[in-house]
Amino acid sequence: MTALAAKMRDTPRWKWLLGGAVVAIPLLLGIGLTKDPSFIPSMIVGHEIPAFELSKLSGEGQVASSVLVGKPFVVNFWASWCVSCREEHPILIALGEQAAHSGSFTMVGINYRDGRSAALSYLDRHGRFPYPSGVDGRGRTGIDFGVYGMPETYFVDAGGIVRARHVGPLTREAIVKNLALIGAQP
Amino acid sequence: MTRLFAMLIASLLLAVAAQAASFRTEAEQETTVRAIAAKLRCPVCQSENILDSQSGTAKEMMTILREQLAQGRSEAEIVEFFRSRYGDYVMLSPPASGYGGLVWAAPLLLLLAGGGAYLLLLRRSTRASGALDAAAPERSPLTEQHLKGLEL
Amino acid sequence: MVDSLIKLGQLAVCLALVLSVYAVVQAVLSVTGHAPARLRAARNVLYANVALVSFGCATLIWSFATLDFSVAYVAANGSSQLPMIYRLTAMWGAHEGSLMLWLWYLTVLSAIAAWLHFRDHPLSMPWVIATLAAVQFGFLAFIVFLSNPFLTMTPPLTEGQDLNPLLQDPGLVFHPPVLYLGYVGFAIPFAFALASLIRTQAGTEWVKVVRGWTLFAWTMLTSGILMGGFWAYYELGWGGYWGWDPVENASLMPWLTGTALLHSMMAQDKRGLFRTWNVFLVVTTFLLTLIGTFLVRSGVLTSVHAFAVDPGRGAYMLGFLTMVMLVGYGLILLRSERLSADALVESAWSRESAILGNNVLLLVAAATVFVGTLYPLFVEAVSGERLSVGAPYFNKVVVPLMLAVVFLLGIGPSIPWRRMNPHRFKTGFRIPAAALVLALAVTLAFGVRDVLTIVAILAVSFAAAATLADVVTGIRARQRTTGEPLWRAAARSILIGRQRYGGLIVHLGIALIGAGIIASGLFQTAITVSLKPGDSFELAGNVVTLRGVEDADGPGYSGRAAILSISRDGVPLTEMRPQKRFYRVRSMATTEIAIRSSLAGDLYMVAGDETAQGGIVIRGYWNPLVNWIWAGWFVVAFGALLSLSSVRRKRAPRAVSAAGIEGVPAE
Repeated sequence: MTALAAKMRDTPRWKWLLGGAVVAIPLLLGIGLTKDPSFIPSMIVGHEIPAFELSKLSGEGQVASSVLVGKPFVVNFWASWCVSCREEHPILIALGEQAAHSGSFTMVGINYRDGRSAALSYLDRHGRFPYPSGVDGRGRTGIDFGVYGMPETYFVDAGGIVRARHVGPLTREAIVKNLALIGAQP
Repeated sequence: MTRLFAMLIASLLLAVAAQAASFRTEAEQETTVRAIAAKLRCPVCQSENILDSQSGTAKEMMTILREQLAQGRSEAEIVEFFRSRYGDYVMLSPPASGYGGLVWAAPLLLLLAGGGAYLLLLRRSTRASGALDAAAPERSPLTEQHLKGLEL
Repeated sequence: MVDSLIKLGQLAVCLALVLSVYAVVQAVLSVTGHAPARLRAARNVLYANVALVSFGCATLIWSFATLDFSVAYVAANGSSQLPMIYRLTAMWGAHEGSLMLWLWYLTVLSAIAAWLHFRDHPLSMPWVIATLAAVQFGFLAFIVFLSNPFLTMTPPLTEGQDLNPLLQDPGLVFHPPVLYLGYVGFAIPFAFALASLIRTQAGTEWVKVVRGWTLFAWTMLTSGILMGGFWAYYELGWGGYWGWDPVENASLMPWLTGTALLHSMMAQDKRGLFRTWNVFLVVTTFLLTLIGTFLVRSGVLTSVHAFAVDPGRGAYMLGFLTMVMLVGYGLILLRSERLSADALVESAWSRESAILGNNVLLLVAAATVFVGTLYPLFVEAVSGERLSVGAPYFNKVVVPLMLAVVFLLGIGPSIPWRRMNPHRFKTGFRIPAAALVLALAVTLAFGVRDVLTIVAILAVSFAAAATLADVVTGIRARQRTTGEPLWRAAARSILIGRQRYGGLIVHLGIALIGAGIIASGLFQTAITVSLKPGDSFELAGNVVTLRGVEDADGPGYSGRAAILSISRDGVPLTEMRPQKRFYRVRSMATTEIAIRSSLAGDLYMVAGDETAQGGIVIRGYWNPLVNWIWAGWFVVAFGALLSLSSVRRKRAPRAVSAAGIEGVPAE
């Protein structure tokens, strides 16, 4: 035991460093492998929703955050050019109908960096949403939300505080989990 | 008449000066735009800044940057604007506080460690050898080497 | 028939995999069993693997040439619209095939190393061959099990998905092959380093071998990096050539440690110093080449250059990397005491000390790049936060370190070994000191006030002047003593002292590159304008006028070209046609920039979006002295080859070798 301690004491410092590197570098790279390098954490979760006032994609009027606040609501960013948006499309329609039935939350879409005609023909092909979408043609609202990967969905509580963000196509599990966070009945 | 003439010249000079000034501020502003844009990371690309990126989001961020500069906002305010939306991720030059501060200190610490090791080794080594041949003949730095076999 | 050909290729590579295991076993057994036949068998495997892997590559290239879309890799990276030259080079256009190129290099260099050194290093040879065969096994297994380019599909596609348009460029023909040759070249020094650790001997014979291979690998790596920069410069269209992207950093790190190694090997060669350190540098450089491959191919970092991501591949690469690290660094930890140097650094005013300083600076730079590149990973692992470490950071921290290296580059070669009288310093550096003062005066006169810029200019001028003075002094000295005419004295000196003058020429080239980087990096002018036909703008004294926009279609793409006429002081100079291209198969848009080069700098035009009324947005750059970088590369390559030509094979006298190594016949 003492022999070992003596040996450890006599080991030069650079050996400890090199030995440490042999352990630390593979460990770090290994942890890195399990992470998604393009993931950006949301800055607005836990904060008030960025205000927006966008004209509706179809029909007159506007989609405005000021009107939505007061009841839990879900904001979905979508675009006709976004391939994985097609995957979540039926789920969105179902969620919209659910919102209309239960009345415990509202659903709203934001058409992000898209052409109006492209967006409308996309909806014709894949089915219309049972809720309005606002047009964010230049992507300013998206930048305010910190949108980086499409599609993205934000869950906002009645007080207008963003409680969760989902990046990528929505799943039923994500919906159940996040609706509970904003006090809406799934 | 002379007064009119003087006024004319003065206004002409003023116009030229204003023109030059506006040109200069335009050029200066473009330099500032590029300098700030080079420090902002495009959030939708693979490690590119918003200046070089051709993505729509990056182009819109460039527009926002220009607008805010024209409104007289400072670089720090503009960076903060994007940081409050995308986090530290958007800063290609990491923030000087928190974890970002550590990475700024790293080269300095490494240099100190390297310099320390260099001095230590040199002192140990020269001390050990100094006793051996204090009176070693000095070699000419240049010519001798060049002449002999050039085995350097 | 074609289908069976690609299967034969796969079979050959699988056979090489089996043989590599056999070679490792035979080589290791040859040590204990005193069995020369085993060692020869192991060596012959290295030869055989060249043939097998070459055949594998040939079947793949043949499949591209004949557009055999039943081969999945060809279908993913080729198309009938692809010109023949890019079909032939498409093999290394994506992950699987580029690994094949890597592997092919490894087999060829292993065989060359075995052939060159088999007789002269009989005691090291078992371990050298075992290491090389083991590394081959690592890559072969990766290819066969996780990155197989020989997979076929039934039914075959009728059309392929085309090669990435960015890679449809002469740059692809040269950049990856040269860069990979640099990376793989460091495998040979690594094999010899392991052998010396296992045998606990790193004598002079080791030095000669490692120096030669390191110089070769370094030259290729330098060329590969510069070619990559050149390619990025004219293909990516952002006006620069280096973006501190993780993958670029991955190539810079082994370059920095390899450069340190080249210098500290000299100290071991001449003075027997830094033995353990050199072994450490060899192992580290090789490891960094593997880490580079890992970073590019595992998807652990985002990068413009990254290959398609697959976590299984990442895990394998990490395992392989960890094994190499454990063996390499583990052996250093166990054996370092027995490699101690038999000499000491005698004075701070000595070449040894300068080399030590060079090593410290280069290693700190390499470590800084390493830390900066992996730091976002570290932060996410500890805190879950995301941050970026990008170009502004690296420019700020690495550039000052490199400037210090450049200063030292001017001083180092004129300091003698062992010790020098500090007073000599004054007389030896009269010319460079004068250059320093002159450069300072000129810089200040031109109104440069930024401290870093001034220091950069001074460093480069000093280094260039000192190196030139060094060369001239040497030639003059010979001229004085021999009475030869100047040109003959110059030729003779350089020819006789190839190692020294080669090094000095490399230093000159580095100073040229440094000047180019400083000028184009710090004094670049850029402008973005929206032009209508007939509009013009001014850039660095040139008047650029838009004549119009026209179609410019080519194989596999439709393009639009802006026609710009350039004039200076009313005199028309030339026409430039930057293009935007749209590649149909991959539905991908690229920009083709236009460059007008001169010694003073490049006029660089990028076409942007077209506007109404036949107008277009043009991004123009003036990149001063950027050509000096590419010119410097030629100088560096020339110097390095000159120096390489001085590396002679050490032929051990027959009698000695026979006595020293019983059992191994001297063929």
